This record gives sequence, structure tokens and C-alpha cells, in this order.
Amino acid sequence: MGPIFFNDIRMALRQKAAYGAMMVYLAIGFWVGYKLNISVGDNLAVNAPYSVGFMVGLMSLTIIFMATVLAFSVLFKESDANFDLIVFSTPIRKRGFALMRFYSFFVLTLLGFLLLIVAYVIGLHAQSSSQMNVGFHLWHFLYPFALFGVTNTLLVCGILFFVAQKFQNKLLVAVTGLLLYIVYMVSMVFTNAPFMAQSLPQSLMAQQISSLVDIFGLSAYFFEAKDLTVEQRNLGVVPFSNFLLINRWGIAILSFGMLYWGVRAFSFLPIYKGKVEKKTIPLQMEHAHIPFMVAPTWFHPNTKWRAIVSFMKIDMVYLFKSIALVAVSALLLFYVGMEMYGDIDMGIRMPQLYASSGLLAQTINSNFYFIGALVMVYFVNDIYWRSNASGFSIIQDTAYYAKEKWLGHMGSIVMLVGYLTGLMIFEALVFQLLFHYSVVDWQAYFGVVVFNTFPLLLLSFFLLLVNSISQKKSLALGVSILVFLALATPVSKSIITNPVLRFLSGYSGPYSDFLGYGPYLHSFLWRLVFGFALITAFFITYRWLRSQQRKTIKVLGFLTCMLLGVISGSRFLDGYEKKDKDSEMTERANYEKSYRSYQISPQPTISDVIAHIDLFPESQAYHIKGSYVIKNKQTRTIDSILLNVPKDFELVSLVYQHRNERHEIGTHISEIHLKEGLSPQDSATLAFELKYQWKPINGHESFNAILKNGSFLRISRFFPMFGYDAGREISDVEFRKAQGLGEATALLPLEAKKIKVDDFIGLSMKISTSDDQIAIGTGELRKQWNSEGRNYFEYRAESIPFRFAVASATYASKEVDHDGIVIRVLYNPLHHHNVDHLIANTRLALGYCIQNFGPYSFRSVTFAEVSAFTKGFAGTAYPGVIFMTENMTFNANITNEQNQDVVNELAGHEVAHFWWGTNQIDPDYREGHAMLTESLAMYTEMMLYKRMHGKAKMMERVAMHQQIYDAERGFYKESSLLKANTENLYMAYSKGAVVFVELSELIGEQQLNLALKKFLKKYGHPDTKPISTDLLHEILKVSDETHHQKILDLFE
Amino acid sequence: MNTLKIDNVSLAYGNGYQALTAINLEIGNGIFGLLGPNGAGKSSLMKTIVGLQRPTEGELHFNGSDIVKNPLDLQKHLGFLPQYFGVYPKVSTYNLLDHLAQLKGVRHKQQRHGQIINLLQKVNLLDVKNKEVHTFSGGMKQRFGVAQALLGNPKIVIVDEPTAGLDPEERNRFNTLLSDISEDIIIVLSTHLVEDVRNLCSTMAIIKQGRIVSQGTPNDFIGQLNKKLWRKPIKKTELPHIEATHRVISKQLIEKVMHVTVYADDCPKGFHGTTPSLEDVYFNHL
Repeated sequence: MGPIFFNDIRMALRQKAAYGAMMVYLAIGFWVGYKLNISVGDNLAVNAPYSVGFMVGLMSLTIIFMATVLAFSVLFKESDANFDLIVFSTPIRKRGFALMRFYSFFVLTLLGFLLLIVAYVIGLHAQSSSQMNVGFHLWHFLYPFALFGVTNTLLVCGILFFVAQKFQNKLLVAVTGLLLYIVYMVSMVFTNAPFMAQSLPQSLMAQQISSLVDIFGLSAYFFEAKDLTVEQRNLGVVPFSNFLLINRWGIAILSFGMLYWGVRAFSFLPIYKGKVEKKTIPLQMEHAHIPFMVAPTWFHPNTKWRAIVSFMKIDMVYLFKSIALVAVSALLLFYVGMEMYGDIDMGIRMPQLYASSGLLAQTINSNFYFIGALVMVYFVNDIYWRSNASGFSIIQDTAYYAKEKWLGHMGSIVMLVGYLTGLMIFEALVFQLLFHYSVVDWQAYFGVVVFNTFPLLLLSFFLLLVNSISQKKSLALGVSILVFLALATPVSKSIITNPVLRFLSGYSGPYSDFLGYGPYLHSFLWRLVFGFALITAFFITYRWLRSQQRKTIKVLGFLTCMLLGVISGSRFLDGYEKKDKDSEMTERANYEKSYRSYQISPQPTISDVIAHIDLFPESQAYHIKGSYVIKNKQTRTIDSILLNVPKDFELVSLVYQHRNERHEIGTHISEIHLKEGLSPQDSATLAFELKYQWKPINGHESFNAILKNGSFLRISRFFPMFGYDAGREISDVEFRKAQGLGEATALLPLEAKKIKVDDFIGLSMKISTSDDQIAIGTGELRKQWNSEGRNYFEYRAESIPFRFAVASATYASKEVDHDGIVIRVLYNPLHHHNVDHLIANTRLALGYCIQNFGPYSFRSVTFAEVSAFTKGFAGTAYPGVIFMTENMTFNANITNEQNQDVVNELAGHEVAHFWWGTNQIDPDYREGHAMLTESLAMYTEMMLYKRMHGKAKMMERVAMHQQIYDAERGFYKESSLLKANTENLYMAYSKGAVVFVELSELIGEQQLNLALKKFLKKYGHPDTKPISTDLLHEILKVSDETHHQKILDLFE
Repeated sequence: MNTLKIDNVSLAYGNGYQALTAINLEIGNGIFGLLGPNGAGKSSLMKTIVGLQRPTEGELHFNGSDIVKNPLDLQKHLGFLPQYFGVYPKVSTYNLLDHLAQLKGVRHKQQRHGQIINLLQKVNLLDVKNKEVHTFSGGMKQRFGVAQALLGNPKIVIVDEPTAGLDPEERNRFNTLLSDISEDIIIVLSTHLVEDVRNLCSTMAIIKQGRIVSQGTPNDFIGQLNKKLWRKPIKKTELPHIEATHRVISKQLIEKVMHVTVYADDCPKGFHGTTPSLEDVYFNHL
């Protein structure tokens, strides 16, 4: 039987396509190693055994593709060549032949994967930009290769071999391959993979079940690794034990089972296909003498159109009768449906969302295009080459209207893409129905058409061109796949720098009930027009070259396309600013080199801010006119000042004034060398005028999102700032070395000496916005009026940190009074469901905090909903105002949640920040600062959950936080809660919640609240800038000495 | 009167194989037979005429129009039955014919329907008009091919080995059909069956290794061999000697006795005269 194996290998290696495939595998492997290392944790090296295992496991996805392609050529070799009956007539033993055939199939697939991994290893060691462990350990690569590569190859080959032998149908093999891919994607959702754990942690049971049933083993790998420390992940492989062991052995047994059944089903003889019934109709001689009838022909646009429609009909009959389309439809529905369910359900941490059209349209936009494009690669190739492959082209191509098949194919492509889009929208509507959300937003679904259907059509037309240029079907398919990978997937960003040329990619940006898709829709349409013009020009050129006729109409058509392309391209690229990572890095390095000296030189402190902010939502722009009173709060005279203004802003004026000394500044980063220094306690002013506008081509900034409706701006971040901005420093160690930058600025250690500088400000902000909108600032609303068709609002706050924000939208509002405090909720009129519940919880939170921690600083609490274009928080508290993004609170379906009340959580958490963060304390910015804000807000949140839902429910939330903490800790260096900072926020949030709840159980909630109250009184602004150990001391003071060690252990 | 003029047409494939060399033919209404062995270039010439291949040299004119430059001038009037063809799966016989009729410019649905039914009757496929063609037997598929070639109002019908796969009865019926319609149109019949050419064609050509080796009417061809063919029964052992000394046209085994026919201006010793047939003409040119 050896000759069969060697013959298979020899024949495979004789094909040119095999070498093409090898080159592709090598290129992909190298690229993945060199560039696409998914970070699995800040402290994990990219060549750490854990990371390598993770990457090899992910890459084992390619085995499905490799095996499916190989199955076509290896498993159907005899039947394709009509050689099977000849083999049958030889004395070869059937089972031995089948086993050898499987063996060569398996070995060829595994060799393909090996090539990929070898190239990955080379790429990994060729790159220098990531964190690497020293040395090369072959075992770290061999182990995951065996774990995932060998086992998954065995599995995939076993399944495909069985299907191929049982059904002897190539299409079914392809569908099985696709199905395996879907299974893989499904399993990824439940793997607790590092990049998924943070947003959608699964319950322990779900992880265990997934570990057992995930046929690709990644779930088991992650589950087995969940308790490993960073050091263990960095130095050793994930142990082959417990669930991982069971999973891999189980899969091996299953694979051998498939092989056994495959061998049993093997036959040299074709399977009888009942449908194909060949019988000869006998001649009926009486018809022989009927006169022959001719039908007049007419060559006219009308008959041309009929011919095009006829081509479409024939395509449609073929497509809709084929099992391929049925299978694709089912898989697409299943895959996107699963994503839709996931986006509605949001796992155990996030609230269930309303099945709104916008949400579901976003899900479609995020998932449909990629799969749709892949599907079209197959179908365009299939449709185009069908007449050729079936042998009908020899007849059809001699007909007068044969050339109209192009237009016919285009028509059927339109129908097919339309059908797939319709399927997606239909599924979304079914979900809306199932989840009882009856408001259908057709604008959202129109976006599905614009962002998916149209680019899919462009891609398909381009693929049609590719197919017609190619001489062979297989070559056309290969080139089409490359076109798909290079132009229609995220890879295009690495290949094509100019965004207008990426017109074959999709869009997966936000959708908001406030403004729909915002300006992105129009921008995308311009890009589509550009793509349409370009592809039409390609078509014209191609037809021109083929026909070799210089027709004026073609020249005119070509020129029109060029003109349209130029117009649409320039409209799309309006305001485009090319982002070059290298030059940006160099710029940041130069900033550090030039100005780091200011880190130790005294700089003025802002004490008063007056700002007049004019918002222009319609044009995505705003103007700021403002002034600072600045003061030298240091002990030394200030001789020179470093001033930073964000470079995205137009600098209209910037004037420093100190007595008679005046400096007009014209650059975004500037040093002001003072003639007359600013003495300690002396004051000066800085007046400034800035303008900002963003263009959709550059994308919006999440926290600087001035929008047609639902704007939110963390505007203080964009005001002029004094001194060296360490936030601009580059963290990449190798780059820093290359630039000679030395050590990056580290967060001040917890143990560092305390220095108190009062940097709180008085704020007066006047905001104007369009006539139909309400603007929300920071602090308390003092006045509002309308002038010249614009709405004006004046907000004031005394003694707050230099941290303020602005929002503006068309709102509905509701106000209630709570013991003299006005609770005001501003929300999108569509999102009224949770307003009353939010108010009820705010009352509860205010009552609890006032009673336990002290008085509230303002006379009102304002909640303002902001659009989903702002991401990065569910809620964020500013003095007197809490901003919440639309999907997390206002649009959450809390009535369907049995175990979670997100409104209670967020209201409790954000209201707690009025005591822990916004203005009552001013934690020193050093290790542990996040504990004094986020951990205390989490604690308050938990206590309020207990008040609202009982202790048992609260403990369920605590258990969930424990799970998140456990999942995250393996990727970071373990540190004390006392050192929690913004680098490891899961500590402040999840560990904080667990620790403080446990603490309240240990010493009693009353005692803990007493400690917190005392801490606030003693360390509240303006007395001092507290650090985390200050709170620990207060807790220890109120607790029994017998608990002290336990308390200290908890924080560690 | 329709005319197809093939003027010095040559065809070389990309791999350098010379399929056709300097073909010159002028064909008018009636059935024109193209006779040649397998691989002689018949199908290449057919495909070149219908525009599926572009000649590397030479010109083709149909009714005065250069159909290499303007293939649509031919395709407006063309019916073509290739030697080998496939069909779309999943499409019924009627729908496939309707599709082709539309591609041939038959505008009105009723006219299309009428002609399709007529043709299906003539080729005896009416009962299976709703069946998918790819489920047909070889003979039925060939009958479908005949029907589609006659769709519309063709002025030139090119049929490449049309009777391959047909049983004698079907073949007879097809030949009758061709005869019926050949009066006002050109029919180019490519075949290696001499009998078909003898029964149907008013003019013919013999093609060998991509070249037209002879053309004329069947009677002319036969007349050229009058008193040039001689025949005698021989022993098998004599054959090498006869082949070495004579131009052997054919050998036949009749009742275990080999009969050999040779070409010569005068009767060789021991031979007797025989009446030439078109087969003899064919063999004489090979």
C-alpha cells in the first residue's frame, strides 16, 4: 500500500498549485509571526509558551481550509479522472487503499500546517517590536503543534474523509468544511479567550462544558490555563491535564471513529443517485412529417433586455435549486443569529439590550460583510464558469446575445446579494419580534444595505472581471480569494494606505438612536461612488481591449467614470489627514526629548476657568473662547512655561498676560520664556480661542464626539495645558532604546513623599448649541436662554478638579425632587423605559451616601444620555452631572434580566463617585489612586444592590467580579489593591468589589462606612491629597485588632 | 442565396499546434459535407466558423460580411450543434430551449413557444419537455442538440458529428430533417461517416491534418475513381507484398477471406475492376 501513499504525495507535489499554496502558507505564517501577534497581556512575551499555544491554536483554524482544498484533489482523484472502475478491477484491497488514502490526506494537510507554523516561528523571531523572552525553546512550539496541529488535523481530516467517502459529493465536503469553521467560531465565544474574557465572561459551568465539547480544544486550553500566573504562562507550557487531557483524547478517539466509518463507507463504485433517471424515449414516427417551423428573430434593445433577463433566470434557477445556497443561507443565519443573540444577551456581566433595529443592524454590519464576501467569491466563480464547466458554453456562446451573459450575471449577482441581505434583515426582524421590540427603524436597515449590499456588489463585479480575465476556473478562484483577502478584509489596511482605495471593505462603525450612522453614511456613499466609477472604468477598459474597437461611447464612458471618480474620491477624502505611525512615534519621541526637562521645573496651576463654548452639531464643530487665571503654587519662581494645545484644534489665539508682559502664542506646543518670572502665589491670565471640526474620513474621537445629536466631549482634555505631558511618552521599550529616551515616566510609587498642591478650580462655562438641543455642562445649571436661534446654558462649579465635560442633544427630560436635591434625567425620547427606575435608584443612592458618608455638594443631580458614538464607559460622573451612553443604561432591557439590575449598579456606582472621585476627595495621582475612586464606588454599588435586591443577589454579583478578577490576574503581575491604578483597572473594579464586600462582612458594614466617613472628613478636599494607605489606616482604626492581619491580607 | 466563404484560413493553438492550414472553401445553400478522420481538424474548422476560435490567418465571410471582425453578422443567422456539449443542470428542456431562443432574438413568447413545441415534436422530446436535460441518455441529449441548433430562423446551420450517439432510426430521422430544411439555407455537416455525406450532401470536402485535400460533389469524387480501382481476394500472408507493390485503398474480410482494393491506372495482374464508392474516395485521400 506504500506506493499509493507515495503516489499521492508525488502527484500533489507535481501540481503548480501546490507550490502556490506553500508560498501562501509561508507568507501568512510569517506575517502572523511578524505582525499579527495578538497581545494576551501586558506582561506576557509574544514567544511565551502560553502566547505561542494561543496563536497556534488560533491558526489551527486554517487546517479546515487546507484540508477542504486538499480533499477535493486527493479524495476525489479517481472519480474525477473516471479511473475508479479501473482501480476497482485491480486486486487492490479496498480497506488498505482507503487507509493509505486517508494517510496521505492527513500527512499533506499536516505538512501544510507545519509550513505555516515554521513561517510563524521565523516571523516571530524576525520582529523586534514586541516583548520577547530570551532564547529559543523548541518544546514551546512542538507542544502546541502536537496539541492543536496534529489533533485538529486528525479531526478535520477524519470528518472530511468520512463525508467524502459516505456521500462522494464535493459540495457536501465544502459545506462540511464551512460548518466546521462555524463550529470553531461558536466555540470561540465560550472559550474565555483573553480578548473575550474582559467583555463577556462566561459562567464557570459554561466554561467547563465548553472545555469538554469544543472540538478544537481552545476552550480546554484556556480553562486549563485560567489559574496560571503570569510567570507560569511566560515560562512553561499549559499542563496537559484535566479538561485539556480529556478534550484532546476525546477528540482523538472521535477522529479515529470518523476514520473507521470513512474506511467502511469507502467504495470504488459511484453511489447510485436516485434523482438522475436516464431513460430513452422511443421515437414516434408520426411526428417526423410535421413541417418545420421557423420563428422570426428581431435584434433590438428589447430582445437584448429579454436575453439579459433570461440569463438571470437561468442563474437564479441554478442558484436556488443548489444545495450550496441552502447550506450557505442556513449557516449564515445560524452564525449571524448567534451573534445577534450574543449582542442582545451580552453575557453575565453586561445587561441584556433591547433588540432594537440599530443594535441588530450593527451586528449585521459587523459580521455579514466578511462572510458575504467569502460567499460571493465562491458564487461569482461558480456562476461565471458554470456554462463552461457544464459544457454548455459551446452552444450558448455562439448565440447572438451570448455576450449579454455579463449583464445577466451582474443581474443575478444583484439578486443573490439582495437575497442574502434580505435574509439578514429578515432574521433581525424575527429577533425583534422574539424579543418583543416592535419599533422598526428602517434607517438602520438602510445602513445594512449601504454598508454591506453595495460594497458586496462592487466586490462581486470586480470578481466577475477577475474571472473573465482569468483563463481557468481554478486560477480565477485563487485570484479571487487573494482579492478578497487583500481588499475586502482588515488586511487591506496593511496593504492599502489610501482609504478611498479600500472601497471593497465593509463598515462596522456605531449606530445610535440619536443620529443613526451619522456622517459616516454619506461619506461611505461617496466611497461607493468612487468604487463604482473605478470598477466601471476597469470594465470599459477590459471590453475595449477585448473588442479592439475604439468606440467614442466607450471613451466618453471611461472619461465620465474618471471624472466621477475624481469628484467622489475628493469628496470622500475631504479633510483627510494621513496618520503615519512612524512619524507620529518620532514626533512623540521628539516631544519627550525637547520638553521632559519641564517635568522638574515649576509650572503654573490653573485656579479659575471661564469658557464660552459654541457647539455646532450640524457641522460637527465647536469653538472655545476661554480664559484661565493661573497661579504659581510652587515655592520657586516660574521662568518659562510649557504650553500644550492638541494639534487637531485650530489655534485662533493664545495670549499669556502677566501685568504688562504679554505673549501671543502661535504654535500648539510652545515654550514661553518669561521676562518677568511668575513669583510664588503670583497670578497671570491665559486667554485662548480654539476651533475644532472633525471629518468622517478621519473618524471621530470617542471622547471628543461633536455630533448632529447626542454629542459628548470630555472637553477639559482639549483645553490648553501647562507643563510636560507624560501621557505622550512611548511605552515601547525597544523604540525608546533606539531613540535614546531612557526610562519612561513611571507612576509615582505608593511610598513616595506626599506633596500637596491644591489644583482644584472654579469653573464658569457658557455653552451654546442649536435651537432644538439642550447642552449639559459640568456643575450646576445657573441660567438658560435663547438668542438668535441658539440655546444658551450657563453652568458653574466651585472647587472641582480640572475635569469637565459637555454634552448636547435633543432630549426628553424628567425632574423630581429628593429632599431638596433636584434629580433631572435627560434622555432620548425613544429610551424612556428605565427612567423611573433610574430615578428610584438615584434616590436610594443619594440617601445611602448622604446618610453614611456625608452631605452632597450640589443642589442637583443631572443624568444625561449620550450617543453610542461615545464608547469606553457605561457611565461617567462629573461634578453634579452623570453622563451615560445610550445602550448601557437607557436602552438596557432590565425587565428581562433575572439576575442583574444594571440601572441599580450604574446609578449606585456613578452617584457614589460624587463622594469618591468628582470633587470631595482629590486622590494623589500615584499607585493606588484608583482604589480611592473606583473600588469605593464599587463597594457603594454593591451595598445599594443589597438594599435593592437582597444579599444573595449581591453575592452573585460579587462572585462574578471574583471570576473576572481570576480570569484577568493571569495576564498581569499580581499586585496589592493598595496599588491599583489605571493600568490594571480590573483590580480597582473587580478585586475592589470583592475585597470591600468581604471587608464589610468582616468588620460590619456600619463600621466600614464609619471608616469611610472619617476618611472623607480627614482627607477630603481641600485639606489633603489622600493615598490608598490613608484609607487602610482609617479602616484599621475602626476595626478590631484581631481582624487586622486578615484586613491586610485582603488588600494584598 | 447564402454564401459562406472561407479564405485562406489558418489556425494555430497557443502550444504551437497547427490545427488548420490555408483552408479555402466557398459554400452555398444546401448541405455541405466535411469529411475527415478523427483529429483531422473538422471541429477546429467548425469552431472557427462559428466564432468560438479566432483564426490566426485568413478571412471568413458570410453573405459578404467579414465575420471574423463582425461575428454578430453570422450569429444572427447561426444554428450550431457541436460534437460535444453539456447542459446546465437543474434546468428543464423547455426552459433551456426558451433561454436559447431568447439569446437568438426570438422576441415573442408565443412564437418561441410554438417553435419549441414544434422542434420538440420533431426530435421527439415533447413528453420530457419538463425534465432536466442532464438526466437524458446520450441519444436524447443529441436530439436536444439538434432542436436547439434549429431555433429561431437560421440561415446557416453548422453540425459537427451530429449523428454520433444516435441509433440508425434516429440518424435517419435527423438526416431527413436536415434534407427538409436545407433548400434555402447553408448546412455544414462535419462527419467521418461517409454514408451520411453520400446520402445528404450536394458538395463536400475532405480534410486531413488541417488541410482541405479535395473538394467537389460526391459524384465528381466517385467519377474520378472510375476504372481506377481494382480488387481481388488474397491470403493474409500476401498482404505485405501487395502493400509494398500497390497503393492499397482498403482491405475487407468477407467470410474469412481478405479482399483488397488497390488504386492503379491499369488493372494489375490477378485483380478485377470494381465500382468506386464514396468510401473508396475517402480512403483514397487518407
